[in-house]
Amino acid sequence: MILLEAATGRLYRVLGVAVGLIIGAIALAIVLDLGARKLGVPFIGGMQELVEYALFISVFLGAPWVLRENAHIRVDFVSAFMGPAGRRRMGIIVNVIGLTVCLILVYYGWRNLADAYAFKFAQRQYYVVMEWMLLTVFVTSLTLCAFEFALRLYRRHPEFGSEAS
Amino acid sequence: MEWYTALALLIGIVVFLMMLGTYVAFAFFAVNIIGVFVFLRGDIGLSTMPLEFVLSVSSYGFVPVALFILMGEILFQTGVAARSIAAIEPLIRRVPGRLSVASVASGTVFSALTGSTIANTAIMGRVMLPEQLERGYDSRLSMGAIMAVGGIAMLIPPSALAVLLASLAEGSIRDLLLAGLLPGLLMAVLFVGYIVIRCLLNPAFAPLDASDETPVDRKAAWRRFLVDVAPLLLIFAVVVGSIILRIATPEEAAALGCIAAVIACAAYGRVNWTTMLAALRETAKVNTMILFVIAGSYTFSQVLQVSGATSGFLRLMMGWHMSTLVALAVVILILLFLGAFMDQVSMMLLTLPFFVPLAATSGIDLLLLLVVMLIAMEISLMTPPFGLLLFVMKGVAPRSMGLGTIYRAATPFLLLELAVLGLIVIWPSVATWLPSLAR
Repeated sequence: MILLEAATGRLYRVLGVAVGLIIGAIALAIVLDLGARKLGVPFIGGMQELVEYALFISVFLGAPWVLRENAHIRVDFVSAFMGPAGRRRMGIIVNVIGLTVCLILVYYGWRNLADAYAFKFAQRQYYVVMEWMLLTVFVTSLTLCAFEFALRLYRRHPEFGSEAS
Repeated sequence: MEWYTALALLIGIVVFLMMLGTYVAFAFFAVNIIGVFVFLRGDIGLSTMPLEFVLSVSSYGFVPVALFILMGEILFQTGVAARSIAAIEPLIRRVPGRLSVASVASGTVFSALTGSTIANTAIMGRVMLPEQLERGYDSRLSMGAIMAVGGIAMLIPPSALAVLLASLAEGSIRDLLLAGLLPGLLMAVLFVGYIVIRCLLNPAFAPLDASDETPVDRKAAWRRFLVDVAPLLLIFAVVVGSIILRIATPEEAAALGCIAAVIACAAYGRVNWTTMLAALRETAKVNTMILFVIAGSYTFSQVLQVSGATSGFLRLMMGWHMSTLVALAVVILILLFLGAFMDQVSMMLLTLPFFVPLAATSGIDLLLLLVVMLIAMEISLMTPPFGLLLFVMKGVAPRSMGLGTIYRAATPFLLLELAVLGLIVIWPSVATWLPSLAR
């Protein structure tokens, strides 16, 4: 388990940089596209669509990393009034809820993915993007999030961090 | 199921989960799973829901959110922002409460360079607060001014939250960005006025020391301003100018702003791999935080509609025959209440499904509604007990500053912000004039 935690930690560090680079690339691509249009020079076709998919990939690939960093947005209303033991119990409940939600979404994500693959469903705009590819990112992201919640419960130290936003 | 039962169930579950401390995105995922199962074809509805989540964040309209955050992070991580703030202070001499006034002036300039309230408050707190406390300034005045001007980043373009609000409400991003400018500046002027009057009435709030009496080399101070601040204002000009002149869409203006920020920081010799990677990583983190909540909440408004909760709520509101003024007052009160313990993104997602149709049926202009929402949410950032900026200040202030002191510090500035909000409700042109001019 420790090895797995360390391995995912390394993976997340790479993902964090990759997601950042995707956002940087989006900025650069939009400026180049604008410049090319103003000059009447053809640039990459379907730029808007590419940016939209890049944004989706960055958010879902970044989600497990942000979860490991305990940086997802949270409202610390009740736990703020609790002592360490109460916060720990609350942490267990919250992680069980998170794990359950992720597992349900992974299950239905797989079903959605299997249907999309079997029936060759696709998003057809400038590019034809198979829906199973998009859903693979979704399922991977939620599986990693489920792993994160399970890891917190396994560690038996599921109390809230102090990085709440 | 009756509409009010559905409303209580859906809102009740999501708020309950949030209060427990569940991450907001997962609270929305959970209520959507329950809502889709109960109101939208059960198992079949759930098996098509993941694709909805996927498509929710695949929206070009969200691009400026990420890019405005990146713009601010580049200036923040390279240290160029701190340098510009320090250059403004020497220009303000012999003004009562000089350092607090400088906080407001620098914070307003920094608001125009970054779309992030958190970054604004954090950097102003780190740069401006220690000196004020060391000089014996009243801690409440010092902290209040910094928190208040931190919130202004939400109004003065480029504001990531304004972009998000306009995108979610399907309003004009350009109009909302421009509409926030005058109210933001008006607030800054009021904050300065309050600080000056307060310090004139009681000079002990901002004691003078030798450095106040030392004559300033005005030429050197202006030279420093021209070198450290004026070039950065070009970034603001690039972003806002390209939108007003219709050279670029808000998405393209945000991208231009990022490139302009990199060029400006490179000109100061502050660009290297370490700072750029730090800026990209922090942007990735904040952007994921925000857009993952959007993904989680995407089907929430659909579930509310299908369950009959939205239409039932609107029928109830219509039955009260509210005037425009009362409807706006209801919007403000709900946001101020929610803002006392909830973050701005969650507030938008919870309330927009109700407020947008309510505005349409009450004859409220969408732009006015969005400006009012933006200011109410800005106020809620400082509303005790859980306003976000109160905690950012707690994080950067000395340990001896309790939350009670921070709450009291925020109060006068909250009242000034409420006054501006009231002015806009009564006289909407304060906000809508600039966008109408640019149309």
